[in-house]
Amino acid sequence: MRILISNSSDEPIYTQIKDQIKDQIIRGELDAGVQLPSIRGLAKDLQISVITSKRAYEELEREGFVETIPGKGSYVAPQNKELIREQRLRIIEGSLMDVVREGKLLGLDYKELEEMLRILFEEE
Amino acid sequence: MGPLVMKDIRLIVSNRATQIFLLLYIPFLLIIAGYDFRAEYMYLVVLVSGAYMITILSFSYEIGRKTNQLLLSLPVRRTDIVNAKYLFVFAAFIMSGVYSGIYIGLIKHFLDSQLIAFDLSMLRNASILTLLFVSLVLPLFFGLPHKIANLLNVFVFVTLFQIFGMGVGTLEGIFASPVFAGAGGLYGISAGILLLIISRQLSSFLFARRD
Amino acid sequence: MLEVRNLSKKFKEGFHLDDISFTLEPGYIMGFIGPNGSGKTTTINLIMNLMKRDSGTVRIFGDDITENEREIKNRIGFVYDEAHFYDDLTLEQMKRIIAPFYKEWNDSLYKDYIDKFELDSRMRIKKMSKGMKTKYSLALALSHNADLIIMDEPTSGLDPIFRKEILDILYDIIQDENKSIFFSTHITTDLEQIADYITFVNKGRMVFSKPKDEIMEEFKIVKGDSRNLIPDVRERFISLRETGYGFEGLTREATKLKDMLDDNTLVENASLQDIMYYMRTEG
Repeated sequence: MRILISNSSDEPIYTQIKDQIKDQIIRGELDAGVQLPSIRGLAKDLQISVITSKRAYEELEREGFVETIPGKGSYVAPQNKELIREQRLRIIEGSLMDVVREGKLLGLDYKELEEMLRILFEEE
Repeated sequence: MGPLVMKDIRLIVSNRATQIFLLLYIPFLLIIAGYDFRAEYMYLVVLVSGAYMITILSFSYEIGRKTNQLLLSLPVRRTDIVNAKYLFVFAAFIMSGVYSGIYIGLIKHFLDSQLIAFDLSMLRNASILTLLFVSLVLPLFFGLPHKIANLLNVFVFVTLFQIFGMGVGTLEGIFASPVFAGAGGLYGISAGILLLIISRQLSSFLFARRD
Repeated sequence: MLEVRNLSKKFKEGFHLDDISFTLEPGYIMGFIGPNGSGKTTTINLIMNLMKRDSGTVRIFGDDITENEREIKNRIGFVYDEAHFYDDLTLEQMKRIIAPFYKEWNDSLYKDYIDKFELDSRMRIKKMSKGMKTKYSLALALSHNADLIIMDEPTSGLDPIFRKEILDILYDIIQDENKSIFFSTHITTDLEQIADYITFVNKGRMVFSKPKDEIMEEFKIVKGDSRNLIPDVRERFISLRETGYGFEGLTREATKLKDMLDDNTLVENASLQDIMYYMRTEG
């Protein structure tokens, strides 16, 4: 599991952690059932406070990504495949929105964009 | 309380300055008072003044806020601290007894002068004097800032030596009086212990109110 | 675990500690910050019953410190800034004096810490550096199974490497969710990351006591062009610093200010040091 915290970011630390873990779960880098480090162990490794670490896990639990079993630990929750697909589709939509915006700024029309997409698609 | 008394004993015993002082104390006394001093009271003087000084010395380790802070942060009650100091008096007396017994005994052995041995009545008199003076001075240390207490302690100490210097006839008279000699010394010792207890109550009261 | 309520003490020389209240639950670290002379040491002395309080309560492990002093202190590990020990003694001799006071003294744990901190038991205390004395103090504090560790300026006078080592040790302690740490310091950088809660005292009064995350979200530093400092803008700052190049100030209303001011305005995270500085007149 990979977590990098920026102290100078606008985002509160717990959000950064939450987003990074969430991201890895969505991308399938963290499978369902994988045990996450203990809250206090995480705090120590990342050199953050216990409360911050706790909050990140609590948010993840609230959003359904993580399950905590008292006395045992925190685990990646089995993900609703539909939900994940939706999340990832949303990410793609976001990227496509950027493409559309940039294209329009440059004065491209739909056909030109479509052509670009087709070429790239065939290249990959 | 046990660990507190042990602490005081350990600190006195391991202190280099104290060791040197004790080494020089008896010769010093012999020199300044030798010509006028009745030999049989040598043990008494050293025993009592030694016990007194050792007791006072045990306060010097906790001067000011420093190690005092350490002491008060340990799991002890203030009454334990007071009680331990009063118990330490007995330890101080024994230490002083060992010290004077051995040191003076050695001097006697090598010089074979007229130094008279330890005896029970001397021990009795020494105990009573010790109890009296320690009772006077301990509440000072528990109730007043160290510097002031130390200053007043000097007055008490000087008074103690006035008694020693009282001239043999007067001293013998005092030691034969009912206070000291009554009922084989029982009156004296009981009075001394009573005084000690009253002193302890006072110290406890004063110390509890201090910061 | 540690609950202080309305703690007050008046001194003859004029300084007084007024109405200090905060709570620390098991498993967390509370940073106690404030400039020199703000009352931190007095508060700690009152908590440990080294001084008599005028009013208020101090409850540790659920009991009033003045009532159950011995039981409570058995479970407290105390680390001082000046670590006053009997200078002429060796570490080993000092330990032999202290250990018998504690019911749950763990000698092998003590030895482990001494080894880990690379201290020599036969060394005389007066020969030790300040850093070594602090480590020794920690070793003693951690060797009797204490549940609450109280530290009064433990890192002042230590170099940054030592200070980081101490923090590592604190992280290890806090792995046990039944232990708490109360850490007073004026070197706030030490606390920035590890503290769960921060209590800020100034001039004998409490400025705030909150979770650190909340403080970080609430306070921001806003920097900008001095020409923008109209009264409506000024009053949204807790306090400001103006130079020939612009202004910089601490505010609770960063989002509002960002709207009000132009694009050349910077909004940054406030460090605890910033907060202490800009709030130095509070209290």
